[in-house]
Amino acid sequence: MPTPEILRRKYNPLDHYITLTVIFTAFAFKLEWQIVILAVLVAVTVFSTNRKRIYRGFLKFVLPLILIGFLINGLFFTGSIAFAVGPLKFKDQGLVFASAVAVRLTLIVIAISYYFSRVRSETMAEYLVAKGADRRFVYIYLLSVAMVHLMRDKLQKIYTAQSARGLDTTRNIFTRARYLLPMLVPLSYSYIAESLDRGTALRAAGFSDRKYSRLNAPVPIVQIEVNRRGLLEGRIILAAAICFWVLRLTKWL
Amino acid sequence: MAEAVSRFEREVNATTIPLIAFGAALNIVVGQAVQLIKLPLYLDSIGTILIACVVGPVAGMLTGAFANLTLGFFFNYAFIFFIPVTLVIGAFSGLVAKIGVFRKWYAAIPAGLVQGVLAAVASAPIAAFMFGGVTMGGTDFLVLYFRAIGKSIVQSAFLQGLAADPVDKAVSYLIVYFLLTRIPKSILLRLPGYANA
Repeated sequence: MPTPEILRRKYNPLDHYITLTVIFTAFAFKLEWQIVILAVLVAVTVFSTNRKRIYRGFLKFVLPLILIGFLINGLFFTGSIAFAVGPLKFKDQGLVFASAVAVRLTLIVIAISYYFSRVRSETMAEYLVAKGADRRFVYIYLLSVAMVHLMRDKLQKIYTAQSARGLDTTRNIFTRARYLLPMLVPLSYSYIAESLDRGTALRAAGFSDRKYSRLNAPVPIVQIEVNRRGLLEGRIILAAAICFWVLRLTKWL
Repeated sequence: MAEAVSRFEREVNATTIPLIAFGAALNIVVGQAVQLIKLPLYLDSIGTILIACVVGPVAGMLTGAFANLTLGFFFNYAFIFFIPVTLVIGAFSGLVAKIGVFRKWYAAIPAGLVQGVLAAVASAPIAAFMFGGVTMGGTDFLVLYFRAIGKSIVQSAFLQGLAADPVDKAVSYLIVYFLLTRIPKSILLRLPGYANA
């Protein structure tokens, strides 16, 4: 039996420890400390080669959320007026609440963007399996990511075909709602049948959650090389954040 | 606990794993279909409800969770925080499927309405405390309105959910019912929960 070629992938756990630490601080620390951590994070990521990717998600999804949050909470919270723009009176309590939400969201989003700008999702999945995560979860995740792209292409083809047969998106809402079925039925039918066949193939190949099934041989096809220095540094950073939080909580600091 | 583990093992195995992945992908792709035909609904739980019906509540919960994880990682991070809501949707759909709500269209609609109320209850605290009541879901003007008439932030987020979710979930349940009636019996019989359809 030929030995499968082993793929070697490098993984630095420092990346996920930094992300975990930032997410922890976003929930556990007070606003002033969150702002300090955010400033450090921005200073670090702004010099990163992946900065465009990191900030794209923030600008696209979080910035509009934050601006509307300031508007709604600033205007409709009770409390004293911080400032007024014409007839619009912004309350200080609302602005403080909106600031807390904004800082927390920014921290979380930049931390997650930072992680995925450094680590590919396949490498993350392989690392999780190597660390003992249930292989079924990893398989579901990877398969669903792959299926999204395939199903989108297929949906577009079905839409084009149905448009050629008279599907009209300018008609009233109930007619348009009825158009969903001619699009979803062929898509679901073909993918349910395909999923069942795939399931049969998996079962025949001996896929299971057990450590040594035939698809999870003792010699893994992908080998993850973990950066030990990064692992140590990451653990120190997370432990320091937790210690700092405990000391603040117990009033030692 | 032993019962939960046994149910998990029964519902998440080699046969059902590709179905769960399909359900998660369907949740995401239906969003695209809704945009293509310009419907003012989310319908982002159809995959969760379908899998909860044809496999079971645990599989439904996993479907919702993985759909939101994938959406969160690749499209919009906000979805990650709403995973608890998808767990509620998966669990409820799986449980009501067992009493036969997907066998008659007139049973699917009230079940969908109740599902919508539960989804609103589950999502309100997340929307309020994580996002300050704003989720960019297209119904934020309702939060603005409820805040303007003096409701608290949690109440506003809940009422906004209550205004949008029951209709959305009732339509989703109805679509799943129609999907199940149009899928051939030969395929349905191969599904673990075919008796629910």
